[in-house]
Amino acid sequence: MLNVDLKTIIILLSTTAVLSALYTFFQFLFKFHPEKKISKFFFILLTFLKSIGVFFFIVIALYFIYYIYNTINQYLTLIEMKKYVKNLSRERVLAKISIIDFSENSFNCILELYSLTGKLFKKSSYQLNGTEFYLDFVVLNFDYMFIEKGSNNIAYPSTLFSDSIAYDNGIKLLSSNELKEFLSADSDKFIGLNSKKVISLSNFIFNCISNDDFARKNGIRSIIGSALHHKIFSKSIYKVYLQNTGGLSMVEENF
Amino acid sequence: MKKYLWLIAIIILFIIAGFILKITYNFVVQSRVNVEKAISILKDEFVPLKMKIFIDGNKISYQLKFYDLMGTNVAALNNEISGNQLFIDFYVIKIKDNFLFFPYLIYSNEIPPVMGKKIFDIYEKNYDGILFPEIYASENMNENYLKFISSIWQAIKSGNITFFSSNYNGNALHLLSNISEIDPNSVYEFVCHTSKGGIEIVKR
Repeated sequence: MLNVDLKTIIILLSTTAVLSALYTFFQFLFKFHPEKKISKFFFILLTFLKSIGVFFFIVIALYFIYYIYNTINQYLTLIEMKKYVKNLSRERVLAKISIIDFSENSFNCILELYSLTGKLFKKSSYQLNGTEFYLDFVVLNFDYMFIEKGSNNIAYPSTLFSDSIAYDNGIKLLSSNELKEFLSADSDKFIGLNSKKVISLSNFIFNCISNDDFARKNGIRSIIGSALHHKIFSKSIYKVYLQNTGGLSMVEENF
Repeated sequence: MKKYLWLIAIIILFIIAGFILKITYNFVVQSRVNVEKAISILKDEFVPLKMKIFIDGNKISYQLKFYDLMGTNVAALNNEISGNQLFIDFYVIKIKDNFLFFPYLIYSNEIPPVMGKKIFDIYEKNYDGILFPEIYASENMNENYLKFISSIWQAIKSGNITFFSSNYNGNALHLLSNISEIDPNSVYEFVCHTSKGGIEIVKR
């Protein structure tokens, strides 16, 4: 959006109004009081001022057309963003971690990450030191007025670490490219949006994730990390769910 | 009369036995916690913890304030830790479709959880010998509720949660904003959702 402040608009409008008033006054004089002789120089100056007034008026009109066009565009983008976030905010399984082996101070696990429709997105095996796994997710919370409470969170898996491994030394679960793919995975299954639109919106989200300033200006209320963890006592399976009323939860799968 | 002595003795024995059974039954009923009634006192959403943080280079200065179910401040903690992301770790326990939340550990992105600072004692209160997590203090609390919450509290502190529930996990929350975006004057609230089990950090 053009950065034209209100003060500039008012100055332009006022100048146009003054020049139009002057022109109107002198046109009145020419037509109805020809006895009041006006010099050629003054006449040329007046015509020149009139053309400036017309120019200012055209500039203001163009600016308002641009402003209306931009506002409508932003509104449509917000509607699409609402659909995108609502789709991804559906209560669903984000990940499953299966403990396949463990000892006194280490464990082996298989981590499965799921996309929107519950389709497997990525499956990997890891071995870590420690007795408790920590599965960290990044959760983005939106504050758009059009997005109702309860459908305003997006989460993606971030880092795997343990009780004896600091977060900074943990395993990053998705590369930048994989994250982009994750955000637009199953794009044909989004309700109310076509695949092209989903990809464009997912790029927008990716920019929010990588740039705090961009995120703040575009309505992201908070970006937090949420590391779900559980002590390892047996070869168990745990599922992480995205809750549509905020936050994540983890459940042990029982057979 | 002698003929009926044995009958009288049996009747007396039955009365004594019935009396003993009644006393025992009353004792069992009273000592058993009514979980449903205790859970009904919980709120659907509450804020047990608020935080202010200031990050300077590789040092985090934090202020934590703990609140009960009525929103009354019950405890506070000020401290420093190395790192640039502060992790506040909660125990989340599911009991009969409701979740209970207990903040218990603080660490950072550079410090592994096993070396974190335990914060159980900060918000613990002694009610005539019963140790109780004051964040669950409520204007509606009664003896049943007190016993319910304090028994879970004891189980958590002793590491014996499986006695109460097989459905529990930890959830460590941390802000991911760039250091320059973390406002030292803002208050960050930890909002706990009792029916869903999720926790959010909300900036006020």
